[in-house]
Amino acid sequence: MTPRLLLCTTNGTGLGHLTRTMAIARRLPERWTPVIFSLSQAVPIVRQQGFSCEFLPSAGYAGLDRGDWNLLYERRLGELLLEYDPAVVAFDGTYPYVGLFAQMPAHRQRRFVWVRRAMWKPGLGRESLGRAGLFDRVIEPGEIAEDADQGGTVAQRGQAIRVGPVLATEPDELHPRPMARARLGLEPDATWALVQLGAGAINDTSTLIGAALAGLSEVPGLRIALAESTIAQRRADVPEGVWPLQRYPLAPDLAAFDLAVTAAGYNSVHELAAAGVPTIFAPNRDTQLDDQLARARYLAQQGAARCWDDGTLEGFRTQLATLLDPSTRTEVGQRAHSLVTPGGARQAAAALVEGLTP
Amino acid sequence: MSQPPASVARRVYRRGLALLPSSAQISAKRAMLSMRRRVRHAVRRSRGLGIIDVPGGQAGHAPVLVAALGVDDAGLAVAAAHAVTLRGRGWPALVLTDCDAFGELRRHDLPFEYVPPPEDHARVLTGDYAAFLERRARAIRATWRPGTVVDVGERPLPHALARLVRQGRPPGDTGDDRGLGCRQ
Repeated sequence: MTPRLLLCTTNGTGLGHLTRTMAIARRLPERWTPVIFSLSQAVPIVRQQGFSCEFLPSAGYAGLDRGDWNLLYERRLGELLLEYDPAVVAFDGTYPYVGLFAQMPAHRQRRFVWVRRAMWKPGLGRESLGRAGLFDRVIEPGEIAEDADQGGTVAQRGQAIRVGPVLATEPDELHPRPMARARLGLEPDATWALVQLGAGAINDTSTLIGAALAGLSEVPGLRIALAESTIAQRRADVPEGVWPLQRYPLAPDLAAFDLAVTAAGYNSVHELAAAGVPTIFAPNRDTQLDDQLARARYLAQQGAARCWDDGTLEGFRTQLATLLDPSTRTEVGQRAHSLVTPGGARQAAAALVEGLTP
Repeated sequence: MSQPPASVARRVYRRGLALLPSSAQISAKRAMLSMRRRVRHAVRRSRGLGIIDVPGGQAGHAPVLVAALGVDDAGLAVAAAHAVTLRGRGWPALVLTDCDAFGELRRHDLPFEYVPPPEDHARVLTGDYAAFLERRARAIRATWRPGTVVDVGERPLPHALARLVRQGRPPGDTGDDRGLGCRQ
């Protein structure tokens, strides 16, 4: 019988946890079969990528109080453990659920692993970290800005299996620019900027997306592609001349772009850096634990990106002005690329099942 | 004897917990949560209730499960419309589906349960899909304790839920649901 893994993800902002989990699942040694247990509504995306998926609505969506939801999670997880009989149960998230711990004593024969991204906001997440010892293993995906990490995971690095950055698309899997542009329907010889900033009113320059589009549209000859979430409804307010993209995964085609403007989440930063795309990062400060500001500032200090941390149109213009020269863009992109060590997803996949006989 | 206010009890609990070494705090917290859960289950079971309340609807009404197995996006939209109607009449409604087009359910804030369709099951497991579905249905039934099942799906319901369809529409519900594609 094929041995199985149950890969559990939390429901964070966007598709970060799910994308990382699929990147690892895709690189599991032969004969291991993953089942993804997600709280994200992106089940169709997971299934399109060829994975079997179980789903439970998150506490916020289900309209349940935290206690009831934890109970629901515990029961569903218990059912899944009996049904799929996985040798490994991995959790990708910063806050492992009470329901997960509650199932551990009855399933000692299984390996419980915490895939724990680093770069937490300083002083937060102590309760989660206190539970790390309940897992059989902790795997820490590599962090490009680890030198600037002041979060709680730093003190626990010694107890974690540290691997390279987990990338959905390794540098050698990227499509070359002409192919990527053809796949995305982009004009082949133009200069293209990718904007991926989530929600916000486009025609309001007090929003990040509004300011970024306003700033970019001031540059003569620059074409703009606007990436929209694949799990949200299409925007109705995309201005004429802006090319809308609603596609998952976008990572294999990142070479299509001459520059990018995005938030500074783990996946965006590492995928863009690996692809060598010079980027203006607009760190999202409203995340629960992910220290996007520290990550973006570190990259800017290294000359591997620009950090747009004031959110104003004027601030954006200032950062953009430093990337208008093609040779500077090349330099910044190469610097970013040099900071990423490939192979992290394969290392994480190997660490999940290491020592277990298929 | 009157009970202490919840905030006082919580403060005492937290102070007590803080006195323990950090390694013991986790196990103590787990033991407390587990005990609280067991007591709560026992109380709910003694009242004939499911383990968790379906959000929405009037207190005291048993939940109605709208089953939409084997449907496409349009079929799931029908199920959502049906659940919204039931909820509007005061019945806590829960949707069960194997269709992953959750948009319509989310738009109406409807609670729902998803079960993987046969093709996903076949990709991972070797056993019989009907038996898999039956086990899941029993678990869903034990969790939510639906009083009635409304079937708007295209695939036969597992036995654990089909039995509830035969009990007919929710007690006291005189509304005409046939226009919504209900096969009650």
